[in-house]
Amino acid sequence: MTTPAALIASWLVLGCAALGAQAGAHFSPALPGQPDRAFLHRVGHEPMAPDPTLRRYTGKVTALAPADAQGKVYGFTCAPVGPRNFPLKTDDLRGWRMTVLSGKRFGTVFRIAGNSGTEIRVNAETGPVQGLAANDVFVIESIDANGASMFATPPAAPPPASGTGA
Amino acid sequence: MPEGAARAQRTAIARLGRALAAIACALACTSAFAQGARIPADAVDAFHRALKDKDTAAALSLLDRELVVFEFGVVDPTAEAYAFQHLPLDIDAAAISTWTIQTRRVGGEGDIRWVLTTYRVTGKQPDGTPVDLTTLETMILRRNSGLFRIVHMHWSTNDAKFQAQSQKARATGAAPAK
Repeated sequence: MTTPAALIASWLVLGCAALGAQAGAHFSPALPGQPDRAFLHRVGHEPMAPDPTLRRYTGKVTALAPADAQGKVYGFTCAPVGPRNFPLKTDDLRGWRMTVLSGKRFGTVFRIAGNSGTEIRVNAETGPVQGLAANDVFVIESIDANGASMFATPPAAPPPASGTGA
Repeated sequence: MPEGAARAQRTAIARLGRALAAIACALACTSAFAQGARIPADAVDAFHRALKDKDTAAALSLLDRELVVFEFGVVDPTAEAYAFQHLPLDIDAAAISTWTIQTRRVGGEGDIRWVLTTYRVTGKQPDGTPVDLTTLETMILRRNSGLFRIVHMHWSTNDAKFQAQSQKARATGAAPAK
């Protein structure tokens, strides 16, 4: 038996699902062409100083890692690009948030599972990286799942030792 | 109440509960994936909120893919350019400042609207330097699939020193002197 309340609720569910699919379809359209990458070599700064509690690593994809047994890819090799990066050490970026800034996966968020000097792996919970392509750029930020920085403000420099002079 | 009617009522309540749970799940999934707003000014405010929350993906989801940004005399010609080199700086600036709306006018029609806002921007830089200026913002929004997203933004300020400092920094690629 189908009651009016259950019927209305079912229509609401279908409506929400349709809206979500529509919005999602609009959000990630295929780019008509490759973006002009000349901008990557320009640097701009606001007169406001950056937040010292937030670190960023910007880079570009050089190749996807091989697929796993289920045909899904959770890693890629990368190269640093732009002004915000640093030499990577093993698992420097573990737990950080990655956002794709160009290409078909523009705006997609992944959580970093680990890294080596040139390879980055993402958590399975945030989905595979299929759709990423060579030269897609990304930013990886030291922000946890709650939006908080994973770094504390650097401690103030200790006061100079008091002198013993006259 | 007869037994049959009571059972039917319990079944209906259970179905309603499951349906509401599905709605909640659907809303949670879609809001994290795609945004935009049905009201132009809401998209503008949501963008500033995303900056304040350091939510890069949410900020990007409010931008039209044909975005062009004019800021302090410099152009970000694509959404990718803005996302890569400029959005992080706006997130940093939002973290240390408060943007209070002073005036707002909205207009346009159909799928193209504009939102003109002046903000008083206050705060303090990490080195203690106070921030107190008026920022002028022009946002043009385009509606696609029922949602407005920002297709052009232009910021400038009444603070000549801030403006000059920003333009010089962008032209030379060097961090401005404090």
